[in-house]
Amino acid sequence: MKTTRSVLSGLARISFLVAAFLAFGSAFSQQSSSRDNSLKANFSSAAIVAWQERSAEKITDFYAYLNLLSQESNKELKAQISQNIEALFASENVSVLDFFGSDKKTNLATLLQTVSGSKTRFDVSGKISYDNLSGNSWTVSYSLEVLRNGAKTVIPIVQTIRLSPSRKSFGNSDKVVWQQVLGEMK
Amino acid sequence: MSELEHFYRLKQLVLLEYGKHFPFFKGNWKTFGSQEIANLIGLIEEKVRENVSEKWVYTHLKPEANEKLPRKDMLDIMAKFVGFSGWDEFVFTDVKHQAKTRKFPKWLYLTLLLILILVGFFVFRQKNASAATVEIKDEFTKKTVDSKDVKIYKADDSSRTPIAPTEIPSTEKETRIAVESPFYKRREIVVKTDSGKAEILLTPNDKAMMVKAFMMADIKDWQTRKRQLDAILSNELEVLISLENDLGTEMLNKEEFSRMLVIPTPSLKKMTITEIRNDENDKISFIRISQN
Repeated sequence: MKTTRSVLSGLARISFLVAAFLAFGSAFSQQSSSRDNSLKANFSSAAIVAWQERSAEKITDFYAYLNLLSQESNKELKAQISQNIEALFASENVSVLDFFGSDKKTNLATLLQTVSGSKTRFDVSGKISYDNLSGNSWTVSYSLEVLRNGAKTVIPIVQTIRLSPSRKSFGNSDKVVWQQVLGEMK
Repeated sequence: MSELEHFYRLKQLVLLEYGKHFPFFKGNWKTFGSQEIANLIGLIEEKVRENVSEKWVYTHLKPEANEKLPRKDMLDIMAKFVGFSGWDEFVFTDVKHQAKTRKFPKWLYLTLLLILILVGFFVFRQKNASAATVEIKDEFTKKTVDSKDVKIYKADDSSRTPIAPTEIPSTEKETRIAVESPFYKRREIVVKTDSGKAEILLTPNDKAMMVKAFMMADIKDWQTRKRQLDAILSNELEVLISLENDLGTEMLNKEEFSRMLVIPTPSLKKMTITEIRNDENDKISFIRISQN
């Protein structure tokens, strides 16, 4: 009788400890996943503006690379330029505007193939404005002048920029840093 | 003090005495009109029981400068009017008063001022004469290093406040200064501040110089540049790019930074290296960049 009681008591204690551990672990993971990584929670308004201006520089760099790609014939150099362009974007599957085609939308990888060697000139013109700041993104509105075969077209573009914490490797160590990438175009 | 000067002083006291009885008069002898003269004559008659003519007032009291002293009896009357027993007591009292409140003549003030200016000039020259001009050159090319690539400060200054290379001020004959640059090895040197000019030769950090050159390069020789970057940059490289007004920092690793330099872009041309550190293998492990 005594032995049974002590066994039951022990089991009750163990069960209580396990339940408490599970409850604590659950609360902890809920806390971790609910950490606010949004831009407004992590940056002042002035800092967000600074990041937005940096995104405009990346857009200008994108079209500078595109100009090189369209003029270049060296296969290895074109591969390097394409690699640089893809590194600016979230991925090569990002939806972008087809500057030459009639269906207007394509993905980045296809655009680069189309632009490569096309002897096209791309220039960002006019005022750049930033809107729709929410969560971890905003949009950049600008005009793009496309000069091809002597004909100039001006295309209004609204492009999404994403800024979020990302784990990055620095040799043998890695760190979580704020990473900015170009997103889809409309 | 001459008698005429005493008389000028007496005239001031007469005017003051007049003002006590006629406080609405705020002028001077120049503006003392016929009505005021009539009032003054009446006042003297009442106070001193003596007669003074209008002509006498015009001749002796109104002029700013008198050619000669009036008659003694008239001086006595004026002295009595302002409260003295006569001219002699006034002069005696005035001499004692002037001795107490002696004012220096204007020429003495000017002379003292001139002496002060000269002393100040020589002290200033002496201080400047003890400041040295520092010229900073590349040890191998012997070319002057761009001042914006260099920071100079006093070696014992923990705050490392920058000082201009064109003038190293000092109250002592020698000053130990430190010279830092992202592209040269740090150097400390003793500068003799009374020697006028000093030349400092800096040893270049070759790898840092390469990175600086690559940032200015065009697309030519991109494959060579890529190989060289792989060799001189540590795998653990951290590159911090400060955003506008230092409001944030973008952090790049070796792969990302190399990509930027292999195919230079417009934004790269606006960047300036402010700090470079090498690791124990003399590879670049840290770069800090600001945007212009």
